[in-house]
Amino acid sequence: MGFTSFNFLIFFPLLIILYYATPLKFRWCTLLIASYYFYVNIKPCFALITAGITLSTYIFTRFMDNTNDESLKRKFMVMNIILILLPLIFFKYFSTVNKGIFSMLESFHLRWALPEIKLFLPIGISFYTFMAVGYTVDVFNQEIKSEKNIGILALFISFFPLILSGPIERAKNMLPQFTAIKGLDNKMITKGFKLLLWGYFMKLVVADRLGIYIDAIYNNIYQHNGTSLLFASFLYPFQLYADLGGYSLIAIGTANTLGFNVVQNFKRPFFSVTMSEFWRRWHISLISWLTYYIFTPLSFKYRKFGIWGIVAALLLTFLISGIWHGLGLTFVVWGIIQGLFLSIEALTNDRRAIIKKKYNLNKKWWYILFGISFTFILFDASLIFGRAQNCIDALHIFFRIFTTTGDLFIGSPSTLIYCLLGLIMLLAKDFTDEYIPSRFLLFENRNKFIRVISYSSIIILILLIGVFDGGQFIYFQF
Amino acid sequence: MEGSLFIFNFRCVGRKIIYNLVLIGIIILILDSAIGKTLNYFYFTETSGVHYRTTVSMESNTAELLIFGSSRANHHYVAETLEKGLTMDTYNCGREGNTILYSYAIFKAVVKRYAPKVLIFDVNINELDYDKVSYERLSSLLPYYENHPEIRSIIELKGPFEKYKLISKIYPYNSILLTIAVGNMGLNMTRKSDLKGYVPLYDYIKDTTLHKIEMADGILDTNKVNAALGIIKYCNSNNILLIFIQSPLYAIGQNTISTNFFTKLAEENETIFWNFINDPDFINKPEYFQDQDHLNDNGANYFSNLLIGKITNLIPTQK
Amino acid sequence: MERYEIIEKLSSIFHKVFADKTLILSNEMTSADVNGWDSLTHMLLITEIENVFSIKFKLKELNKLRNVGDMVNIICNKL
Repeated sequence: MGFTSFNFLIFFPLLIILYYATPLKFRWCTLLIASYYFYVNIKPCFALITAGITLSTYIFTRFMDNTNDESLKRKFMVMNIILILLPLIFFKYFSTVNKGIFSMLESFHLRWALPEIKLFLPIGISFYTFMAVGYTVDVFNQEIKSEKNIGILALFISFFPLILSGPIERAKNMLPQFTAIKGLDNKMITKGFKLLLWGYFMKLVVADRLGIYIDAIYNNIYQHNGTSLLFASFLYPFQLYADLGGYSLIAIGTANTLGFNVVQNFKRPFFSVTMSEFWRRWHISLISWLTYYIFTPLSFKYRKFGIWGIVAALLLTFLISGIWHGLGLTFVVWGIIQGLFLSIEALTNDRRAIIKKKYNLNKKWWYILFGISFTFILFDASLIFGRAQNCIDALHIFFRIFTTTGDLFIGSPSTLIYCLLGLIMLLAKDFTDEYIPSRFLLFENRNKFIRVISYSSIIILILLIGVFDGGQFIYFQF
Repeated sequence: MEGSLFIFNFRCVGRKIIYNLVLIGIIILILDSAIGKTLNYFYFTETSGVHYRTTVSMESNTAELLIFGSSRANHHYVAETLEKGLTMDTYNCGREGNTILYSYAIFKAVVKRYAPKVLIFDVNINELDYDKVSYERLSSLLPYYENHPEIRSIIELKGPFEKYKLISKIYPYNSILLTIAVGNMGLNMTRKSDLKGYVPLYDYIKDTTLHKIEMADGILDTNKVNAALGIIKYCNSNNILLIFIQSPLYAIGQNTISTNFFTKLAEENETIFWNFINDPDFINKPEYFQDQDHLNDNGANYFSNLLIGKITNLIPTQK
Repeated sequence: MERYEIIEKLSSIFHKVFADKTLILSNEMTSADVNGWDSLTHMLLITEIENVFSIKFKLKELNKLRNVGDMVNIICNKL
């Protein structure tokens, strides 16, 4: 059951009632059971992996805290990290590596019948793995004491709002909250419901609707002209933002209604003026994790190389980011491209800062508009690698965009109209939040009537044009 | 102490939230009911388009010859041609993107109202395969749930919670708001002429090389098989001439589990099955096709005329 | 070295790394208060501090720095 399945619509309200009916002292137990129930409902054996990672992390971190020998501590940390990463590497990359080995053997005319196992990636494994690794490193660095209660640790790793797609949280933020659960907080619950509502809007009305149109083009790239490919590529970052951003809001909103603070994951990323700023607004929890646990240690290690040390650390960090998203050449390429953009920005930072200061560019609207557009184009171009099936397709798309034009593929006009309606609403809200945050308030309006009408309207809109299943399609044949 | 603190909290603070949720819930119920009823009204006043054709198929048409199926049915069988050739009222109930489950529902609604003479079911080469999307496409039947108890069991195949989702009056009309609006406009009637359900295609296939269909082995879907068997049983007991047809493809086809299923039933004299896949009359004529899967208007007319002869031969023996 | 001397030297390092001679340091100052101070430039800052004061940081110590005041304290302890 994902957040957008009907099952969740039944599970969640029941859980809230059960949760608040449980005495404060035992609420973490209710949550732990609910989290495992949630995950087991997706596939029972996946829960075993989560339990395994929890057990291993608990044992090793307790060992780490009970010894003063630095090198032994380090050994424990490394062993646990390897154990934690093994399932991730196995599930995510096994089939790719398997195929790679198979074809390599074939080229040497060796045909070993390697087991061709069709593996389904355990949902969420990428996310909670990172959370567990982060916790292990934090204990090693003595940033946090190892958790004595294995149940609380289990809850941190399996916490159902976060388990599927993040945000990736830190033990430092979550464990204290789980250990000292507070009573019912009206403001927090209200905030949670608002985030839930907007999250569902983003996912069902914007992301999934855009997906229908973009899939019709990206699944048939050899049949579409450059104009259609360009338009679909232009829309794709918005689909990603509405999808992951919407899902994150649902996750955060769910956690809020249960009384927990969770880090913000997206902060109106399309209003970034530079690529560096973009990565402070897009998938914030992932970037923070990568910065803290990979970039900073790496750039610290290479600091004697000055700016080039930073460039190397950047490229490696984004390479890892690309691989984390998926082990295909396209993801690796995407990661490296991002690393390159940021490296170029870092290398030219001094000179740009001087020019910006001289002409007071940061306050000029045309400079901001230019920055926003340029950053968007860069991110969009790199995403063509993220979306295409393989590198050849990606390059083909670029080629077609620059060499062919023609009529824009419409398919189903109502799909496009719903797409644009949803997208305009989303961007309008982000725009007002960014530049005029105190005006045009709907969910936050002081007038209760306006607030209630806003909530109701969004729910009705979701019922009218939200995408509830895969039954929607654009007929496309060549 | 903790317990009483919790109750105190819940009573004061929780009450406010519950009150707000109930208030919003009531407003939603009112809006959902009002908007849903409006959409329902305008859905059934449409005068053209795909919803209109489904409504006609289910509720008003009384043709003696009916054609069922997906887009291939819709674009391959020229109702007026068949009508003239066979001197039988004809209506094309085919609908794009829909499967035998949809056809079965239309069939059930039809036979509840009257007794047709001849039924043609156009089947794809993977018609009976299990495919998750087939169930999601059953959403095209949602507007008819309320007034057609005979098809409710089919609609409920969509998912275990459909009954509860239908509490919302807007839900059956999700994503079709604009289509309903357009369907009510006279403009649409002239734009998309209604030829007794048949929708002609006018393009020509661009890639004239014959490709071989590469299909992996699927598994037979129990619900779809039961639908086919249900149709056969009813027609056999009620003296309705039933023909399953695999209409032409511009490709080199293969024998699939669906094809074999119908072939076997025909061999056992349970039903009639005509297979036009790989028929030399069609795979050498790219000018009859708009794309690999669909005949254009020329091809449809040729095909329909061909069928007239074959069906005429059957009718005297049926009488 | 006296605390005020450390702060003076630190100020000139900040002026150099962030290309802003108008910056005035305070104990509570954090990266949010300075334009262009992010994880990229942070490491350049640290390297410069190490060079100027001839000290070496440990990664653990870096992670514990919350503001400029902490920075001054740790430099004090190392000298």
